[in-house]
Amino acid sequence: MSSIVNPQPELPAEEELVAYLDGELPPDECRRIEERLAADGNFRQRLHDLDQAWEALGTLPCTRTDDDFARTTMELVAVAAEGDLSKDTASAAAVGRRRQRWLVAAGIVAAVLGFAGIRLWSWLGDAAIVADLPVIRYVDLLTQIEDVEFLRQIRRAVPPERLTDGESAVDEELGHLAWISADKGSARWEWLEATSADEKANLASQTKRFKELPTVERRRIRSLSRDISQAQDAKELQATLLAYGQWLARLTPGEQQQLREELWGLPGNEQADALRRFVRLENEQASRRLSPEDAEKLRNAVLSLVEERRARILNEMHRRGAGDRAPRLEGPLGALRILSWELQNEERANRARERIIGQLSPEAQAHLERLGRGGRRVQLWHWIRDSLQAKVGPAELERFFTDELDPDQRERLLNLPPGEMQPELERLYFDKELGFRGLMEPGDEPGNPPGPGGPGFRREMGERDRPGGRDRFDRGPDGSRPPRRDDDRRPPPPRPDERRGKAI
Amino acid sequence: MLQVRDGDAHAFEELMLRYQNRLLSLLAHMVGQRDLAEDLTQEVFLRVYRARNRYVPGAKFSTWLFTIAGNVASNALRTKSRRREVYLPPSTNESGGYSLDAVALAASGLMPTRQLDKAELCAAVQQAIATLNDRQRMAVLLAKFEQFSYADIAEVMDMSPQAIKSLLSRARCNLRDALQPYLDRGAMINGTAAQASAEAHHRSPEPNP
Repeated sequence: MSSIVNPQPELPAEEELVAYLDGELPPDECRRIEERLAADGNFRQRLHDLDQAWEALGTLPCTRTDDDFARTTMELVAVAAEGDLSKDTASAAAVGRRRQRWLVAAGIVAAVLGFAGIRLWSWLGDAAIVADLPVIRYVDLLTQIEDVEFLRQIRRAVPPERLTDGESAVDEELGHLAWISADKGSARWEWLEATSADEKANLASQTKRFKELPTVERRRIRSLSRDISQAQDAKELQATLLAYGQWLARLTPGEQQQLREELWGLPGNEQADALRRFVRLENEQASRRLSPEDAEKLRNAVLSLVEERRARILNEMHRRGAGDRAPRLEGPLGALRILSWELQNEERANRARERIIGQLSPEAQAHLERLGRGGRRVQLWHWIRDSLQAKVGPAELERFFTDELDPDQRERLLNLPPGEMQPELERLYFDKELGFRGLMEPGDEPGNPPGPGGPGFRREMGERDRPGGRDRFDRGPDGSRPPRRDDDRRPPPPRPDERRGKAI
Repeated sequence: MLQVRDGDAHAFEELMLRYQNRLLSLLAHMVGQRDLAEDLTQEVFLRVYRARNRYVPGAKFSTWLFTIAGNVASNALRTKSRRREVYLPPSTNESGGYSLDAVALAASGLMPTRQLDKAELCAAVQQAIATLNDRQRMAVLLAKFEQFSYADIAEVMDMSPQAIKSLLSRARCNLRDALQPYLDRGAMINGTAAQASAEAHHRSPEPNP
């Protein structure tokens, strides 16, 4: 009897099994493994155990970088690159010192390396900017936003269309935002390259402001920017953000700061109410400002009218023997004086008003129409004054302050912040000295018209026009005198201790 | 990479964005500390930039990149060992996963069973990875997460493909041995998580029967 036993085929080593699982075995060895797998349950179990443990590795978490990582890496590389180039430059210079005959060549090398350093620094610096581009471009705006919920409150309080002059501007900016928010860095580079020189300069200053922010604030607005882009209502939030930004741009930095201080931290509903109130007030104010185009048209219309009247008024002055005492009629101030006289005559005033207003855009005319008579008069006068950019000298202002204002008016002016007192005094001067009533329409009532300075302006400053001044300026060259008003009276002379106004 | 070598900033940024998360994950598993892994990832990119002129056209960039990463990781691990620091599995909390604390909480019935299983498995795998030596761990991570061939891993680790075959075989057997108790019985290796779970249970008031 044969004692020979058929030998068991040798079990493949673990290496072969692992290589089989990894797809690293040649085809013939794969076939051998597969034949064994088909026939041997234990073998299949060994393979299964190895495979199961391998598959379990898939549960390991993937560690992801945060938003700052790419930027800080680029900065690190940029700094290192600059250091390397400095060393290279110094090295090249040293070689040059040792070898006189290479002196010129070494200088050239150093110069080339220096230039390369600038180029390198430039693109690496740009790369750092690219990582933060969506934040940098809107840095001023994002610092005005408390959080995503604040944006939602804005949307609830005021629809975006009421915050902007046109939806197209927001749409255009949304396009930029989508472009620079692209995950692919190349898209952001393309945007950078496509921007104009002005845009690049603006971006540079925005970058500077961003870098000057406290670290905490930089992180906050980065996080805010990310939250906005990842929110479910991202599109609405972005549109609101940009519309709000366009509206904010109308405000001065001080007003923006005030808005931020008053809104941040309020409960949601109060935030919305306060914001609604702010927007309404600002929109009312904004409509009082002429567009640059309208201001130019207004200026041309007024100057054209003034030029037509100047010769006649000068002749009239000479005829009446004004001589050296005649007020100057040159420049913007002279134009205002001429206009003021011209408007004393009701018939001519009507024609002048129609002629001037007719030059304005339909929007500006509609705004005037809405104001009513008193408001229209005040608004037009201020538009004219602003468009002519009339300035009065300090000596004349000082005389006006001390001689023409009453103690209450002086006291009020002196209590104003330094930056506000001068403009307020100039406004008073133009209003009182150059015929505030000159643009009054027939039937105007001496009430409190709205206008710059607010409804309280006339109430506070009163109607105390100086009769003497009216004699000097308000009487037309033809000797006509505008109707006197009952409340026209000379203010009491200033007391000696009130003459501190001389100090201005 | 050729564009990077020629000074193309766009290309450098593209490379960085494409590889930064992969590198960070690998290095985090290698050194066990996220903050250190971030530093090392930046170091890798810095080295890539400095060595850009030495990049040979035709070479596979990912292989070249992970070779640098392997060297950086080896240096860091040598430094850590000189300081007698020990490998700690990265906290899964940082990456959105579950820590052993979370597992303990889960065991107390505050989380769904499905999440409990995932958290336990994740913790078990991290423990298992920690049992591998540095070279095994590197080879496993490259094979599993970068789908590198033996030849690629060999190039990265400066070994022969046959040596990588042996290395990976030993690594996978070690992983199997470490994970087998958990996978078979749902128990944690070394009893760590099971112990934490049990402690959590003991701390929780038991309902009266």
